[in-house]
Amino acid sequence: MKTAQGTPYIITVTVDTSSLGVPYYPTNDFGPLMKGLVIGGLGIFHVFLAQFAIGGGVLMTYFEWLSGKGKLPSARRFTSGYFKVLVLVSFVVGALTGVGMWFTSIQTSPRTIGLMVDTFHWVWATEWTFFALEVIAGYCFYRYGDRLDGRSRLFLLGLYTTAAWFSLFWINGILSWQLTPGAWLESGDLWAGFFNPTFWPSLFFRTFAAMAIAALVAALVISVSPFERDEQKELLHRAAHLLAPMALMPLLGAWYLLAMPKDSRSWVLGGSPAMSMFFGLGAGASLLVGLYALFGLLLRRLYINSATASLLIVLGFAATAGGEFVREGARKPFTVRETLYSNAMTPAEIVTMREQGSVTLDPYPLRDAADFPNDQVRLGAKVYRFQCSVCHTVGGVNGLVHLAGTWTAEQTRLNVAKLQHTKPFMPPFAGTPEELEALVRYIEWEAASRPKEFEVTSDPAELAQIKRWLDEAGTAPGYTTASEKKR
Amino acid sequence: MDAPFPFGFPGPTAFYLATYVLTLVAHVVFMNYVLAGTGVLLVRQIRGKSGTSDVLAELLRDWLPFALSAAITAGIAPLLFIQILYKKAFYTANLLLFHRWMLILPALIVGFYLLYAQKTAFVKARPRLKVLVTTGALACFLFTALSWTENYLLARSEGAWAPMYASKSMIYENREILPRMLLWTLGALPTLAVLLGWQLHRRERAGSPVETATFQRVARLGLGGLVVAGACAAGYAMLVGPAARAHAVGPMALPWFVAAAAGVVVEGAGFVGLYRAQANRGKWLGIASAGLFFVILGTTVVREVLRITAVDFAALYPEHARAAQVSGRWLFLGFFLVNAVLATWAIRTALTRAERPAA
Repeated sequence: MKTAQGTPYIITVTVDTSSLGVPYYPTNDFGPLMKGLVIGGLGIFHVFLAQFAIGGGVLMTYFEWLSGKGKLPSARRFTSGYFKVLVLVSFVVGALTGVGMWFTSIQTSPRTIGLMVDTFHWVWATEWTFFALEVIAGYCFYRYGDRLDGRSRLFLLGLYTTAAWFSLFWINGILSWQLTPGAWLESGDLWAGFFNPTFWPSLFFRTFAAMAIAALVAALVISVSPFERDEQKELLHRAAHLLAPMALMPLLGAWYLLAMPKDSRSWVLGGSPAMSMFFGLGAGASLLVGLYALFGLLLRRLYINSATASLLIVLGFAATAGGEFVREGARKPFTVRETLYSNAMTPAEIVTMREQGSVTLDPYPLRDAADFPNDQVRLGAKVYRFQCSVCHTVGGVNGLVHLAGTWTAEQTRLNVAKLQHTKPFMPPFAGTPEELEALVRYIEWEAASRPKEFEVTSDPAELAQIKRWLDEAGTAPGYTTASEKKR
Repeated sequence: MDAPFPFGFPGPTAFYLATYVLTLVAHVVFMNYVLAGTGVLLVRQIRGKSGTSDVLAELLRDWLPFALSAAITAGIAPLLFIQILYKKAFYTANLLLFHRWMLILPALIVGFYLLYAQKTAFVKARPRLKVLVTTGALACFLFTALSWTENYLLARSEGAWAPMYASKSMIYENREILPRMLLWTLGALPTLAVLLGWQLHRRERAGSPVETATFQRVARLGLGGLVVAGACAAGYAMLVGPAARAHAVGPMALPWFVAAAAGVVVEGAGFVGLYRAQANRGKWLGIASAGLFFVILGTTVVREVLRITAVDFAALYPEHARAAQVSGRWLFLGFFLVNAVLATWAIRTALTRAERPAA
């Protein structure tokens, strides 16, 4: 039996190593692109479209209600045109990029998506019933809306909006669980994980973001539609009402940050330049949109044309990109906090792999194995593929050669052996001293432009030193402080 | 395994298998409409004379985008449950096919927009462009079908995984792929015929006259589909070898095989009745629909039995049992029922409250 001791709020994972079966998957090389960038890029695009679909429903329901009350006569004409945009963009690309998120998640980290599906498949299935209702209500409105009375239109739009928002409700629980699984870690209780510490701030934040995106798209649709100038002004003003809740976003953002684990918060607030920069991008873009909404649309001091509306949508997209990047990045070194590391290993498996090796049982051979100069470099390449390639490339984005190519051999050995302390958003190294040495040699070989001849190192003293460093580093995450470890 | 599917498996496994098959059946219905419908639309556009109205082409053009949306929506549920049932195999096949597999997403997006483009006045007014657009959409859907067929066959062939990975190939070569795809594609025709029949029937009941010849065309399409798909099934059975054939008529699959065969007979009778009927077509369409249900359900189960018997399925039982321990199924069931009622209410509102368009 092996035990991995974590932080005070990490469960102590005990595992019977005799039955440990790490599922090995074939690992694809994304070339110079980091896998995180691929899923991040698609994710941002999908989230933007999905939030547009939700906010669009809120906007149209509001407009339909205004029309029914006789407060906005042109609303009904606008709603029909806007809904066609929604169907053509959100129903098609939004729905398919949603499926794409699943497939891309499989490409980047099959174990992570597998764990999410295992844990939340009934929640996901429930979400599917709402998505189906959203599609059905939406299509009913799309096909028959122009021939329906106001009350029926309002019913269909209300149904569409409610279903779309509940889709967000369910998915938000799963996504926020990844960062803050809360009491699920101790009890394994589904609802403790679903209604986790970041659930509510995230849900409200996304709801208001959805309304803001819909209002910005509405501004573009209104500005290019054949309405009279006065009609346009009135429609723009009413659409801008959906931007008003943005005033609460700073509070919700602060709530979200406070609910995050302390180490994750520290990455965002200066600990990681990239994450801080994206946080700044998101906050700055939101602020600009908010200011324009306040002065231009709500106070009616400025007019909005199609160019300005397009620019505001781009800013809205930038804000979404910043927010999503922060959400994804703040989870490091985990994909599911305290449960599965970024490279898809559990804390308990790392303990075992320190003794048995991480790639000993990997059934997938190296591609182009003959290109490598010796077995040690081949082993290093397999270790890189299994442990590093989910977040790093060799020489591209976040490339190991750029990061560690200029280090001395001893420096690389030390830094990798104590990886979680070298950079606390990195997982612990999961392998034997021999595997670590092989990884060091592989990085050196790549940094040396892949020479045909390359020396094999096998100094027992060096391996013993690596073993000492690995033991000193332990297998707990690096962000634990000394006092927490003592406890 | 001597018990009929899904009995004889541990409770959690049987439960997930049954859920998977039932949700897959719903997906298959819409998928068949899209695949066969796009093909039929293309043929009608190539053979059609300009200036003449074609009710079937109009219907297809009008409803194919929705059918694709429904197929994708209905496809999400089985996609979820396949990850519970065959996680490692499904993920591995995805990973091995890599870019080839991921291409189905842009292919479906392009296909989707091409179906919408069919409805625009610009495309409608240009016969050659119309054919080109439909050809493009059909190519997208056939590519998707090919990729799924490859994925299915690769996922159940564990011995091929490591060599395929080493070879860097993103194309899985297997002699079953094309015959299997042909079987599923041609087998989509009877489904299309039943659904088109109902659409025409509803149109007629709404006051728009539909010629008897149009119903007969639909019945011929369904009967022809049954014949060619049956021939393909026989050819495919010869190809797969004695072991798979034995499993297809073994104790686990036999009742479903029989149900599918009986379904073919009933469906065929429904099409013959529809062909001959001058009135009361709803009855014959109902018979054909009942037959269709058993055909799709039966063939889907037989397909699943062939997968189950091709892999070490018993090794997956513990995973299914672990998945079954998580809560939430009553939540799902409750919202499934509530949302089904709401969806029915929405459809009813749209159909009953909408003013009839001016003739």
